Parts: sequence; C-alpha cells; structure tokens
Amino acid sequence: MRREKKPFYQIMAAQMQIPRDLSEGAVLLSVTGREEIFIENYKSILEYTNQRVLLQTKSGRVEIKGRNLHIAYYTCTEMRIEGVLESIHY
Amino acid sequence: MIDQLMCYSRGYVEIVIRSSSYERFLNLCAYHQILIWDLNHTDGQYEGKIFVKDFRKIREIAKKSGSKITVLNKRGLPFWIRKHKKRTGFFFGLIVCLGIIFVLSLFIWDIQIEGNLAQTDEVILDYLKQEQISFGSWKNTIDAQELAADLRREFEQFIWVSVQMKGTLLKIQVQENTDVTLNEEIEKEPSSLVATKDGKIVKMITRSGKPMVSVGDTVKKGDVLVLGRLEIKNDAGEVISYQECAADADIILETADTYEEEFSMQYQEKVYTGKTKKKYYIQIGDTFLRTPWMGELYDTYDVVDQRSQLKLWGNFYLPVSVGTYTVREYEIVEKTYTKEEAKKKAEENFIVFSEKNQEKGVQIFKNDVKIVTGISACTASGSLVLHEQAIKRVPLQETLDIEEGTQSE
Repeated sequence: MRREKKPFYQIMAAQMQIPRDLSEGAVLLSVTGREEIFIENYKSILEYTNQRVLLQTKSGRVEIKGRNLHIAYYTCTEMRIEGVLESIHY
Repeated sequence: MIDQLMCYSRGYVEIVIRSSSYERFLNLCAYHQILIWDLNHTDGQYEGKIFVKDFRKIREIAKKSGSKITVLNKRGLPFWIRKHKKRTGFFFGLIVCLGIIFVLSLFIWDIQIEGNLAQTDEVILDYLKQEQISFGSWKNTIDAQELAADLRREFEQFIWVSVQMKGTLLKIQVQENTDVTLNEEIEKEPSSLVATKDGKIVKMITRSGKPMVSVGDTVKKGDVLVLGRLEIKNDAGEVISYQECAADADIILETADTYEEEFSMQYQEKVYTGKTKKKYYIQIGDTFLRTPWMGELYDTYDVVDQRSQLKLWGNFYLPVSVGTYTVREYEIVEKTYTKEEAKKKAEENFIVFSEKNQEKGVQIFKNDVKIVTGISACTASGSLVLHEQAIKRVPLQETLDIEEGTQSE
C-alpha cells in the first residue's frame, strides 16, 4: 500500500527537488572500491564485529558484511568503515 | 597529516572497552558527541582512540552501560609536556630559539639581483646602500613598490623592475633596455661629419646633409665627408639660400694600419707544488672566527676563499657564513717557449686583437701578418687593411671654414 501511494510530504519534497536524505532522513551510503564505505544518516549501531556491522536507520536496518572491518571514525550521524567489503544488505 | 597533527597536539588516549553491551556504550558516546576513531574489534574486546578532553566524560557513560574501560596508551603533546614539565631549561631554550628565529626573520639577510647586464651587482648594491638598504636592514622599512620606482628612476636603462621580499631574501629582478638605438641621442645642432683617418670610402649611406665625397674616393684625415648644410637652388640652378642641419650618415672607410707585437721567449710560470693548507672560519655579521694556520706559511702562495651562507629553509638566510681558506703553494719556474708554442701564442694574441677590434666596430679586411720566432723573442708584424667607421661629428661652422679654405685655393 505504502509503495503505491506516497505520503503527501514525500510528493511535495520530490516536486521541490529536495534530496531525500534531507526530506526523509534516508540513509546515504558511499562505497569506494571494496575497501571503504561512508555512511550518513544512520541512527545507531546495533552490532559491530570485524565481520559484520549492523546499523539502524530511519527506514530499517543496514547490514554490512566483510573481513577485517574496523570503524575509522564515527559520530552520531556519520561513520566510515574500512576493511574488505563482501555484502551490503537491507 | 593535518588530522594526525591535530590529534597529536590535542592529546589522545588509546582505550580498551570490555562490555556485554558495547553497542550501548558506542551509541551513548555518539549521542554525547564523543568522537571515537580507529575502532577495532579483536578477541571480543574493542580498542579505540579518544581525545583526552572526552575521556573525562566517558566514565559516566561506562558506568551507565556497564563497561570496563582500560587505558592502553597516552599519546600527544599534553602528555609529553606533562612528562617533561620539570625541564625548564629545555623549554626556556626552545622559546629563546624560536624568539631568535622570529627576530632574525625581521631582517634582510640576502639580496639577489637578476637580469642586470650593463649595471653590475655592485653598482646596484651601492645604490641600495645609499637608500639604506643592505644586509641586515629592517624589513619593515623597505617599501618594495617605492624601491622599484626609485630603481627605475635612478637607472635609466631599466625598463622593468620588480622587488620582492621572500622570507629574509630581497629579490630584485630587472629588465634592461638592450635596444641601443633608442638610447642614442639625436643630434640637433647643425654639424658635419669629418674623417678621422686617411682612407678610401667603401660604403656610404647619407641620411641627412650634403655628401661631399662618394664611394671609391680617397679621403684624408680631417676631410669633410658630409656637410651639414643643404643648398636651396632656384629654377636657374643658382643657390638662393642654405638650410642647416645635423649631418647623419653611415660611412665605412678602408684604412691601412700596421700590427706589431713582440714577446720574450722566456716566461715565468706558476707551478703548484701540491702542498695546501686549510683554515676554517665562521663569519657572523662582520666578525670572523678563524682557526689558526697550522705551522709556517709558504714563501709564494695564493688563497682560495670558499664560503656558503647558512639558511634555515628555502629563503631564510641567516647572517652567518661558514667557509674555508685554502692556501696553495707554488713555485715560479723560468721556461722557454718552443717555436710551435711561440707561434701558437702569437696567433692567439692576433685573434684576441682582431676580436677586440671587432667589438669596437673595426673589421680587419685583409692582413699579411708574419710571425718570426728568434732565440730571445718572437715578433708578429705586418700590415692590416681595416674597414671602420672612422668619422667624427664637428660643429658646422668649423667645417664651413675648411670648405671655404679649400675652395679659395
């Protein structure tokens, strides 16, 4: 149902060409090669080991799997993970 | 790099987090805007880095999330200072050193002049000294734009001057006017051109004035070649008036000259014995600190001075030079030229002679110089045929007198 009919504010934001990460707080992932991923607009860390990082975002969870994952740095809105990425799962 | 420097200057702590609910700890840190970086998961525990300032806030969070925090390492400037706090002498020295460097950076310690060909560095440096700019001048007193303008005013042939101050270096770049004709003053007074030597005219281009001779004529010294007075004639061909002007012409005379040179077959030559002595020195401002000579000096010697000015980096020249004096002993040996050597030397001398003439605008058109080597001396002699601009400018009135004199004869 939700897919078929978007809420009014979403239609408005789309019409006004406001980026969705601003209007909806959608998560933004920037992946550089296989070694680096930059995540913006996440809510919290649910799990972190060097094989798996599970993050809570506004529209659900993002699971990043890989080897030797480590968090280069994180703040309350953004995070950079380095390591060998294997999968990104929503 | 900058990040690392910043981390180092602010000071950070490497910590180990052991907790059953580490996510809670991590999220709480993020919520309280505590930055954790280089977070690693190894053997069921987490290692990360955190700023000293944030470390104090972390205790409460650790308590709340039931985590145990252990400090692995303390790094950064604040810890380093705390460790070396008692070394007051060192800090004092550091501050004094920085202060000295700062004070030294307020002066000019090197002047570089580029692009000058006609004016030597010394002439320009002397002028700068007059303007009270020299090594060791206070940088604030130098106005680069004004100095550039002054230099242009003082040296007419500079058509472009740039003055830059880079660190302790004063860099002056100039562009000289190499176009000579622009500098030539145009003669306006009525005047004539007169031959300064006997000879034959081989080329003559008259630009203004009345030519009195033509190509192929033989002239004597003092003859008027171009008269600075034009005749204005009426239809009947009679001279009705004169117009005076400054004569101007390119005239090349073929003149004869002789060349003679003699030099002795004996000569003295410096032969270095290979013995050298070195002396080191440090120059600070105008004072020298020299090491003493070791032992006695030689009877005949020359001294080579090698020096380099110290600089900190790039253009930060210090008023300190280090250098060495090297004394080389030599002996004077009497030698005699062989015939071939003498001939070669005579030829070389003649080449130098003709090059010097060429610089003066005199071309050697023909020569029959012969070299004769004797027992005691070598002579080179012969006659020369020269092509030269042997003319001079003489006021009109003088030449008129000469002309009238010859006509009346």
